[in-house]
Order: sequence, then structure tokens, then C-alpha cells
Amino acid sequence: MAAKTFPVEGDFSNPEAFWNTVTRQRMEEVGPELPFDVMVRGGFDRGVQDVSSILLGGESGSVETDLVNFDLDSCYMRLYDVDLRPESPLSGELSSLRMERIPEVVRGLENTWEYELTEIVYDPDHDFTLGSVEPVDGTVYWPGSEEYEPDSAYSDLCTLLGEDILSEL
Amino acid sequence: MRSLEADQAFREFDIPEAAHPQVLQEASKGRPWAPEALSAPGVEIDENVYAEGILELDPREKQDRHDLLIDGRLERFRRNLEKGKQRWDLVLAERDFYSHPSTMESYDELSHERQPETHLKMGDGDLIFLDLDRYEAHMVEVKPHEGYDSRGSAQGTEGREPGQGFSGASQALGSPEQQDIYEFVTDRYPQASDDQIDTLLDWGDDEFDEGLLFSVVREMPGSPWQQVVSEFRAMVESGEIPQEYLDTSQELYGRSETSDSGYGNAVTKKTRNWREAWESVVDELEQDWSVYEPEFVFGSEVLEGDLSENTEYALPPSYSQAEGYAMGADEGLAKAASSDDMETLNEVFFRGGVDKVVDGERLEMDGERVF
Repeated sequence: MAAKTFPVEGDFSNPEAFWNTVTRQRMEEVGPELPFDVMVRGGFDRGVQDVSSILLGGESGSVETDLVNFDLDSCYMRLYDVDLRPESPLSGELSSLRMERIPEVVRGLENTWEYELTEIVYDPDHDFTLGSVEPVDGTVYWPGSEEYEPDSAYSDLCTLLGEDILSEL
Repeated sequence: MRSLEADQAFREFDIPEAAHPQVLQEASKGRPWAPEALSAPGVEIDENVYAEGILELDPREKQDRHDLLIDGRLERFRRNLEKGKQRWDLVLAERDFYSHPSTMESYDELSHERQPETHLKMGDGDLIFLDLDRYEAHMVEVKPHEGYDSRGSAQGTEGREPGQGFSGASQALGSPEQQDIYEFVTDRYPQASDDQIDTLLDWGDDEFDEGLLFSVVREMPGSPWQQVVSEFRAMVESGEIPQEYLDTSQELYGRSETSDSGYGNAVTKKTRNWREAWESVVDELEQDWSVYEPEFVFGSEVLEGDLSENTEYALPPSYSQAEGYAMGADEGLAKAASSDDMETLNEVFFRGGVDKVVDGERLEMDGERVF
């Protein structure tokens, strides 16, 4: 048997299909009984064929990242960067810039947040395709949002995202 | 990544003499970033610089940092198990790096030889998360050093005469091979920056065998850096620099071409290499397994910042230094024991070690078994 693949449907470019694939994978970690509570991701800009980064802003700075999973119970977040241009000389260097700011942003929050920084690298030689699965829309995924009682961790989340995301859902 | 002798590190990072014993003591434990060391009397230097420099005092640094990162992820997995929040049934950690820190390759523990082709194709997955109901797997690879800019900013080369040493790179020569590289570069390209030379030296050291030399992208056509890379590559091919580096690189990645074409970066190759290997493995499995995109944790970046406040990674690893590791809830371990595919996965990923996990002679803690 071969690994699962999905036939191409629609007008998705390979990078966009890849981005949606990665998004779906990260969604699998999010839910009431799962390690993370909220996923926030940047949308795919078809014009430039790249992900529009999320800006995580605190009082003391801001950080760009492509996708973040938040665990509000533990005040923990895992930041993902998707490198769609691994052949670029700048590949990997942007994360260094990002790293300089994260501690400052986290320090500005009410709770002590821990975080982890990861990268998922696009392989241009691989066909990432979507078939029976519809593309993912939206930038916030919070399957347990209706039951959630806002607390200080949520306040930190609003600070990081610069908006009250529950009111948007 | 440079390798510094203790006295060099003390000088370069201006560690007061009063702090030397404490720092060395912590380094000898393999935990030089421990809060006790950072708060030792007289240590008042920048923590990032400290971490970068002092970690090199101990040859086990690479292993320690690598394990530290793996343990961080394992610890989070364990916490989630306790909460009943866990996406995966089982996580398996590979510990071959402990036995062979200089290569990060996997060897047969008995014969001390490289595993056959099947294993080489797998790449180095440090952690494999398995969902034994949905037949999904997710590999996590920690990269202790990649992307880490320890010096913060490049040291200028302005005013340096040809052949004159670099404040950083000239002290970083830990092997004859590195000395060759250094002399070659500085003789021909005195205008090369310290960062460029340091990077090249890094390739000549622990990362070289992962094919990083051949992952060099073309930065600026005609730039000295590109010439450096091209000529260095020619030296490898001509035998001036040990050929086994080149052979190893080609073997790992199946390349026969050594021209100056761009290969993309090493992470991309590892991604591709691992995916292809996985697809070859699932062909042999009973179930239709699928695999997540490999996730790379750039661990040295995680370790940046205020280490004493990053409790996830600042604390000494709490897990065993055993050569292999598996963790899961009882339910997950039971699933693994009855899985039709575990035998194959076990054979491919862990060379038989998981049998011991599932049979479990020693239960270290809830949800944890060591082999």
C-alpha cells in the first residue's frame, strides 16, 4: 500500500495545497481533549504564492509567524514557520530575526508563557494535492470556543493577537 | 558551531576567574546551562553568549542540547497524557545520537557498522509520534544548531590583512581538516567574512556529513563566497580534503552529482529523503499509513533568551539517557503491543528495540518505558 495522497481538484497551486495540508495536520492537535485549544494561521496569498504571516504583538514588540497553536491551560504555544522557498538564500534567516523578539513579546504577557519554535519545509518536488477534502478557510480554529470561559490566558491571547477572537467566532 | 577549549572560552567570554570552578563543574555534568552555573559567583556575562560559549566546554554539549530538546517535547507529551489530552498514542525517541554524537548517524549497536540502505534512507527522525487507530505518523527532528547565530552580528573584516587571523574563526580549528579549510579559505579569500568562514568550518565539522556543504545555495553569482564553496568542493573531490566526507554525503542523499547547481537546503533534503523513505516503508505495512509533514524544531533557538525563565528547556533532562525511548498511555502501549504494523515499524525505525518497550521490563513512571 502507498501513502495517502489526494488527487488535485480546483485551482490550487502546489504551495497552496501544501499550506492547506499543513494546516489540516496542525488542526489535528487542536480540540477540547487535545493538546492545544486554538489554532491561528495566516492565509495564503495567491498573488505572491506565500503565506500572509500572523503578527503576534505584545506591548514590547511583535513577531511574525505563519501558524500558532495555543494551549490556554498551560499557557504554551507552538509557533510554526512554513518555509515555502527553501532554495532562497534567506531561507532560515527570517526565523533568527523572529527569535530575537519572541522573548520580549512573551515577557509582556500576564502569564508566564512557554513556547516552541518549529519549521516545516516545503518540498517543491513533491505534489501536495487536495481532493475530497475541502480547503481550509479562515484563520482561527477553536473547536471548544463555545464552552470556554475567558480567563487571564485568554486575555494574553487577545494581547498576542490584538483582538478578541471569541467575539469574531 | 565552534569548539573552544576551556581557557579559550574563559578568555573570549570574559568569565571571571572566580567563576571558573563552578562553570567547569557544571560543564562536567553536561549541564553547563543550568541555572546554578548561570548564577555562579562572578558570572555576569550575557546569557546567550555564555550559553553558546560555555556549552562548548564539554564534549557532551551536542548530545546534551539535543537531548534537552527531545526531553522538552517528551515532557510536554507526558503532561498531556496526565491531562488526558494527547493527540498521539505513542511517541518513540531515537537515542543513537548519544552513542555517536559526532555523526548523528545510526549504527548497528552490535556490529558498529552502518545500517543497510533501508535505515540510511530513513534519515534521522528524533521523535516519531504514532496514532495507532488512524495509522498516522509524525516525525520531529530537532536541529540543535541550525539557524543559531551565536555571535549576534558578523564581525567586520575591514582592515584585516590577507592571512591575518579572525578573532573567532581562527580559534575554532579543532581538527586538521578544519585547519585545512581555514588555511585554504583565508589564503585565497581574505575578504571572506568571519561568518562565512565559521559556516564553512561548521560544515567541515559535525554537520558536514549531513550534506550541508552541498546544500549551499547560490547567493550572489560571482561572489567570493560562491568561489569559496566551488573551490572547496573541488578540493574535496581532488582528495585534498578527506574524500570520505564527500562519499558520506553522497551516500546519505543518493547523489552522484557534485556540480555547482543549487540543491536547496539540507532541511529540504531531509524532508524529501524522509518522506520518500516513509513511503517505501508504508508499502510494507498492513495498514494504509499516512505521514505528517516532518517538523523541524530549531532547538538552539528555543534555548535562546532567558534560559532560567524557560523552564521547559532550562532544566536538566528528566528522562533517561538510554538509547531508545518510548512513551505513551497504557492504552497506547497496549495498542502498540497488538499492532500488526509495529513489528515493521520497529524494525525500520528502531532496529528491534520497540519489542522491549512493549514487553517493558522497567517501568520508569506512568506512561513511560525505557529500553
